[in-house]
Amino acid sequence: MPSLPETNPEEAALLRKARWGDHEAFARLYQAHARAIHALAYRLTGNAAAAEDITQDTFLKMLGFLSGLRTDAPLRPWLKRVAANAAIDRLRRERRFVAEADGDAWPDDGASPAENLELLGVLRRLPPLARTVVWLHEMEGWSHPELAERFGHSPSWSKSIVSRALARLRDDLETGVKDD
Amino acid sequence: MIEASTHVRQELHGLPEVPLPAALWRRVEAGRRQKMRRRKLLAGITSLALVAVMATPVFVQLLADGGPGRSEPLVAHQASNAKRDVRADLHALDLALQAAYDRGASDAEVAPMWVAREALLAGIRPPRAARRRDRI
Repeated sequence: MPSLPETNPEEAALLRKARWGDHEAFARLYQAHARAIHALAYRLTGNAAAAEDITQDTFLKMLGFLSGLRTDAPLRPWLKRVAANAAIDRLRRERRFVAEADGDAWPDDGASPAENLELLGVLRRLPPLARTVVWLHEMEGWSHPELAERFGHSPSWSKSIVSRALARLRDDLETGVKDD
Repeated sequence: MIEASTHVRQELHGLPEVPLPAALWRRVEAGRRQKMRRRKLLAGITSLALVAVMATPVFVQLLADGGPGRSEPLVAHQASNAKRDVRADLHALDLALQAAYDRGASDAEVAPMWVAREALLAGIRPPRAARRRDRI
C-alpha cells in the first residue's frame, strides 16, 4: 500500500477558506492533490476524458467536505476515495459488469509484442473491471472485503478477479520479455 | 508464482506518472465558480423563506396577545431555548452532511442539506443592530 500523505496543518484552514469561496485556497489545494487524483482516475478508467471528469467532480465535492469536524484526517485519502467511487460508478453505468464477470470477456492476446513490453499497455488491455479492481487492491490498498462490498460481490469474487488479473499481467510481461 | 506476482506489483509501482492536463485547472475553477454562485443563490432564497416562516408565529402570538407587552424574562428564556435547538439541529445536520459525503452522495442529494444549514446559521447570527446595542 502506498504511504499516505503527511497531514498538512494548513490543509484544514485552506479547505475552510475554499469552502467559503476563497479562490487562492482552492488553487493551492488543487496544486497539492490534482496530479494524484487525476492519475488515479486515469489508471482506474483508462480514459483521458473520464479521468478529467472525475478529477473535476472530486474537487467540486471537496468544497462540501466538512474538514472542520475532522481536522486530524488528511485530505488526500478522502479525495482518492471519492475519485475511486466515481470511477466504479462510471464502470457500473457503462454496464460492463456482467460481461466481465464472465471469463470469455477477457480479451485474447491480440497486441503486438512491442505493446507487451509496456506494462502500461498491458494494464490497458485488461478488462475495465479487472483493471479497476486490481489497481485498487494492489496500489490503493483496498481489502478484498472492501472491494466486495463496493462492487456488490463476495470477497472470493474479488480475490478471483485480482488473482486472474495479476496472472494475466505476469504472463503478458513474460511474453514481452521473451520477445525482446 | 509469488515472486512473479511481486514482480508485477513492482512494475505497477514503477509506472510512469500520468501528466496532468494544464487545461483541467481552468475547467475545475469554472465549475467551482458556478457552484459557489448556485450556493449563494440558494442560501438567499432559503434565508428569505426562513425569515417568513419564523416571523409568522411571532405575528400570530402578537395578535393573540393583543399586541406587544410580554414579560422580558419569558422572551429571553424562549430565545435561549431556540438558540440551543438551532445548535443541536446544526450539529445533526453537519453529521448528516459528513455521512453523505463519505458515501459519495450526489450534489443534488446534499444541496438541500446545505440550504438548511445556511438557513440555521442565519438564524443564530445576532443581527448587527443588536450587537451594537449590546456594546452600548
